[in-house]
Amino acid sequence: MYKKIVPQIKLETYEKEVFEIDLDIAKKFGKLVPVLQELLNDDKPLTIKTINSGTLKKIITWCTYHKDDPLPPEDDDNRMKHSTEEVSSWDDKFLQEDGQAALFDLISAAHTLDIDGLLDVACKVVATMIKGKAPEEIRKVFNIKNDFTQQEEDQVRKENDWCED
Amino acid sequence: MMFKTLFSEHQLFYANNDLSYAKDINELPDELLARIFRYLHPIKDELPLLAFVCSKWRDVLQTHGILWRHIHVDPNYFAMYHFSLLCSMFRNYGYHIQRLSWRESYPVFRSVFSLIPTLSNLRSLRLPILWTPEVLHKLSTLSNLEQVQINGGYELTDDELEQIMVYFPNLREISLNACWRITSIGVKRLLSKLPFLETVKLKLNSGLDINDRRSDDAIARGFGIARNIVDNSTVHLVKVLCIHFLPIEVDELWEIVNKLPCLKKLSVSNCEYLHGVRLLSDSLVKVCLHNLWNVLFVSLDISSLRFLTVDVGLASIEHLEVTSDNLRKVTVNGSNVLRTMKIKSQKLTFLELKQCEEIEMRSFKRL
Repeated sequence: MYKKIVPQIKLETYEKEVFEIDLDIAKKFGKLVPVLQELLNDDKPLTIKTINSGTLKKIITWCTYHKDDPLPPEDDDNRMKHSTEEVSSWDDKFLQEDGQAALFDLISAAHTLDIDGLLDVACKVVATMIKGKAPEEIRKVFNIKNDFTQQEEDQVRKENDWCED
Repeated sequence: MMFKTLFSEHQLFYANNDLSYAKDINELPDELLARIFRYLHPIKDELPLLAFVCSKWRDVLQTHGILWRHIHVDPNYFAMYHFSLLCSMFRNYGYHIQRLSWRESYPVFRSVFSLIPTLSNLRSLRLPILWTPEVLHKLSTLSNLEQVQINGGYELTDDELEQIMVYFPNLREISLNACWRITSIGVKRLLSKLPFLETVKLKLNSGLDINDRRSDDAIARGFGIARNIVDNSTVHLVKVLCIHFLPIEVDELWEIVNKLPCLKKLSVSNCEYLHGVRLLSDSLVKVCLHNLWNVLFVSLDISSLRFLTVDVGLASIEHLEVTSDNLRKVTVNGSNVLRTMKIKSQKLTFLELKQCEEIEMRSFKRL
């Protein structure tokens, strides 16, 4: 019996936990693509101090699930068009199951590592949470403080007189 | 070398050792918040409403032009207040708008139109309006326009074409649609005087009503444009040519198409002197033919052709022959007179035949 040897790279998180990641998965991390070969040849893990273990684990799970997906279109217009497709129920559940804080952390990390597909779908999930809600509801859902002064609020109201109709 | 540069000492983003943990939406950097907002349609999802949420969101809306860059107005799903929203959007974020298009056949209200001249960074404009000299004058402030579609320019003359050159000197693409009063002299000047022009779409006599008292003059002028455009040094600019109600004959059409080396789309309709369509081209991608009552045959040898539509009104057509390496989609209305059809293509994926009751079965063996 032969065991297939899968090339792997090592990443170390904020908590100094080391993760071994298959090359196929690591290729989805846009930021790492230029140096993948060097990472493969190196036994020492690459430290990513800005990402915690829970988030990296989540990213690896997402990338593994989507490892055979076609690459998103490169030009901006087509990417947005492509991205207006519905979020799959698996993605929706996966991205929201750990609450808002985990979702925003994931967006931050996907941005840091340049994982376009994950960033797109996660941003779309948040956009769906915003869609169709009044400003007051949005503040409530995301726990946002209304920091306008009365004068600023009057100005915003003046700029958006269409809502008064 | 790259490894060292990007990842100093095996630490990604070494300079910032802090955990980038965003637990609230407003802890995300502005560019990510803008990326989220991009999934909301500026009008349908009432994007300007987000300015009420907090000052950070208001700033993001004001400073991220990408949110407003392309506005397509589809009044199909509009309530009346959406037009007020559009006006407000033009006033508050208008300097970010670069491309404005509007669904065909839906009116552009005066209140909305009056704000379009203020969109100083507009690069592309496509509105279903009639272009009168007054409209042209009102839009003269849009000096950054690179792409414009002139619809229904029934009243425009060569003088207005001159003004177009002055008002929109940066044009890269212009579509002249139903400009019945312009002449070949005006079109030639326009093509040669605009320094950045790359694409011209000429839709000659489109929308012309044969009973209209202006039609005789329009037919003569349109014919002049079609014949003279090929004697111009700017023939490579013409990418789309639609010929409607022109007294053109088989050889003239052949010659015009032959002399337009970059022509991509050709549409021919209502040309009663045309007794056949015979074309040879290396550039055409799309050909549409309709209401050519006297055409007996269509013979196309166009290696680049992908789409062919032979629509209603080819009441005399007996033979259709197409040779193209790239032909993918063919739609034929045989007016119940088409007898033989020969299509040579390795890539045909769609063939639709309507009213082809007389067609001989051997036509299908050749497919």
